[in-house]
Amino acid sequence: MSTLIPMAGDLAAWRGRARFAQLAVLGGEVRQVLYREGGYLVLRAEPPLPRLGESWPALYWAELEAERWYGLAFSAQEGQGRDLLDSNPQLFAFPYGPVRETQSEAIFHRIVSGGERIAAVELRPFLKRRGVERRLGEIPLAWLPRVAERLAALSSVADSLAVARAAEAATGAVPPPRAELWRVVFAELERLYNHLDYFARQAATATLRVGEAQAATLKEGVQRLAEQLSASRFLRGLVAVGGLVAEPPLPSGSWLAELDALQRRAAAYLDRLLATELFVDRLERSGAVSRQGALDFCLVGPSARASGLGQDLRVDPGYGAYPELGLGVPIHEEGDALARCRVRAEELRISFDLIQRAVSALRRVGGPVHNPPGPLPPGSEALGYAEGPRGETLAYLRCDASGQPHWALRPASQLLWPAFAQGMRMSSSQMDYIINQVSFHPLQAAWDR
Amino acid sequence: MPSWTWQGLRAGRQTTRYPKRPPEPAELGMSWPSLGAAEFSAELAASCPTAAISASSQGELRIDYGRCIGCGICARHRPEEIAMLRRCDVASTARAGLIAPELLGPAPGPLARFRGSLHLLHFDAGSDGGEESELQQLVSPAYDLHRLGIFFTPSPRHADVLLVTGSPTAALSPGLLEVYAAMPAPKWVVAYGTDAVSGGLWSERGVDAYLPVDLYVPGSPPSPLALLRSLLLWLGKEVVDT
Ligand code: SF4
Repeated sequence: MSTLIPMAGDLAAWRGRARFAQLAVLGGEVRQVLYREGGYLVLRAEPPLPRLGESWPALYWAELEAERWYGLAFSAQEGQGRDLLDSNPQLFAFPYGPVRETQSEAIFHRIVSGGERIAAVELRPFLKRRGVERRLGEIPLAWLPRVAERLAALSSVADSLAVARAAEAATGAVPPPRAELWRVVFAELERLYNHLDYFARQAATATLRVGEAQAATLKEGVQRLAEQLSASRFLRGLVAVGGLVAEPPLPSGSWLAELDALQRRAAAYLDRLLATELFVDRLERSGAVSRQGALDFCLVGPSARASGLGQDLRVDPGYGAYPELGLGVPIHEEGDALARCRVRAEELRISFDLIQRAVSALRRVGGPVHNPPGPLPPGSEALGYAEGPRGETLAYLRCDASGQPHWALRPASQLLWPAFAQGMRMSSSQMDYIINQVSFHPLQAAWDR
Repeated sequence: MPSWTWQGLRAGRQTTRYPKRPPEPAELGMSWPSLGAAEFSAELAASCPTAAISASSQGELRIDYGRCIGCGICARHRPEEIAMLRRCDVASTARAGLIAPELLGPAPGPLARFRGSLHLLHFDAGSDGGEESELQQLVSPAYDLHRLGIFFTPSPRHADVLLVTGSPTAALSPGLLEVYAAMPAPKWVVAYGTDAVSGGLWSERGVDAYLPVDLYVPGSPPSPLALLRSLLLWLGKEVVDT
């Protein structure tokens, strides 16, 4: 279970020694969450806070959000960002979005350019803000995963797990081992169809239409397997606080055979894709994030692992059934779009294997799948986390003295979008813009919340 | 360099036979609570996170499929009476046609005798991305929407139908109205997904609080086949359901 180590002290002093993870404003109280090998640290901060975002880029948007949506007060401003357009008369800006081709989510960016090259990409988030955190604070415990899994459809499992795990830590309702095995099956199925969705879109950015169609067909195959277990193509309705809502049907022989067939087809597909020069050439050196850049932006998930950072919550600190099942963490050093692609290609194979192993463990491990939680104790605080397809989802829960819960979510996409925008600065052509947007594979609904 | 064309041909047909043959069970998609013999109770109504459960004027149980997200909580309250059933036929041209048990499927719309191709413009007004993922599957080989003469266009000038996802947020509703205004008449609006139909978990406002909606396709998200089927029925085309 998540260990919260309350620390005193100054966030800035932790730079270089811990990864910034979350700035949570919970009914007037402020928590700064850091990750250091082995677990999370929590700092209690008193507003006004010093503004650190311009020297520590990962904090920039977190501070802006806390200020804009939760009225958090900051002391001195750091130096104002210069407006590129004012200082450089050759540049012009044009909007991108919110209506886009290819049936994608609404996003809105301002692209500053001097012609072929992009000078900057300015993000305009929160168009899709629905107030997910506020909603979580209004509802009974049993509904939490049903709302959390609608933060963003493609990370339904990861997000509902993070929220459920926070509530489990607060109530002490430890999920039974069988539930943890099932959770691995769901989370890895989710990773499969997300990575396949990524390959479909990335192939499309290289105008590989057949490559796009084949990945979309594989994704459909995985979503249908998911649907057979859960009656939901997005694996919704399964996770409960304390385990699972109900025992799903144990995968049949034909289900496993189909999984096997998909695994073989996916492997052959990836061999073809990564042997296609057109594809590899477009991705190589595009949108490169150095190891230091990944640290500055506190990148997570496949994007961090593509820049040489070996972080994966499934392994460190390890949670649920992952430590007993065991898994490797693929790491690449180049930090470019190709490295992010290769990391996902290797993760696909690992996820197929994990599902196979979790299913065979389910034949040995019996018992219930739910440990009913009690009410949230007033005054309790807990952090829930899960390694989703894009990296870490965090859910911070604070139940105040009157018993009112407050939630703060930190989806992976909150860290991915700014790193993408930074990667586009000064060096990229407009073609790289689309390639890299797909390459980080961020979700706008998750960031907007 | 591997030959993608050859690989594509070798894969053979991967597209659903629908609407010429009935849908495969795997294509149906979302599960909905069946009412059966269940009776209304205030406690049952309170169990639903989207307030989809109510009583008719005679006190009979009603479930508004325009609000339901298929979470299954009501079915666990009444396991003997309410079952969750996979179905792809929940859609209507009238908002009132989504109140179970008196569901009205999509009636043929004004384009029923239309022979040309239909162009849809997708607008995300605040979705969770699920509908977008399903729209992308809809144009992939598994469903291949294009074979039925239905296409997506990114330009309002070329669009017949505005397909809206999500409950319109404060920031996106002005854009929604602008895009609609930019479309040439005659034009129609489809609300795709529970959030677009009714606001779902997030608000009381669906797309019809902003624009006249011609076709409601609820679901969280609705399966690709559910949208395909409702569009075809609305276009007055034949579908084989069983
Ligand atoms: S399935 Fe869920 S949303 Fe639908 S009526 Fe039942 S409780 Fe309400």
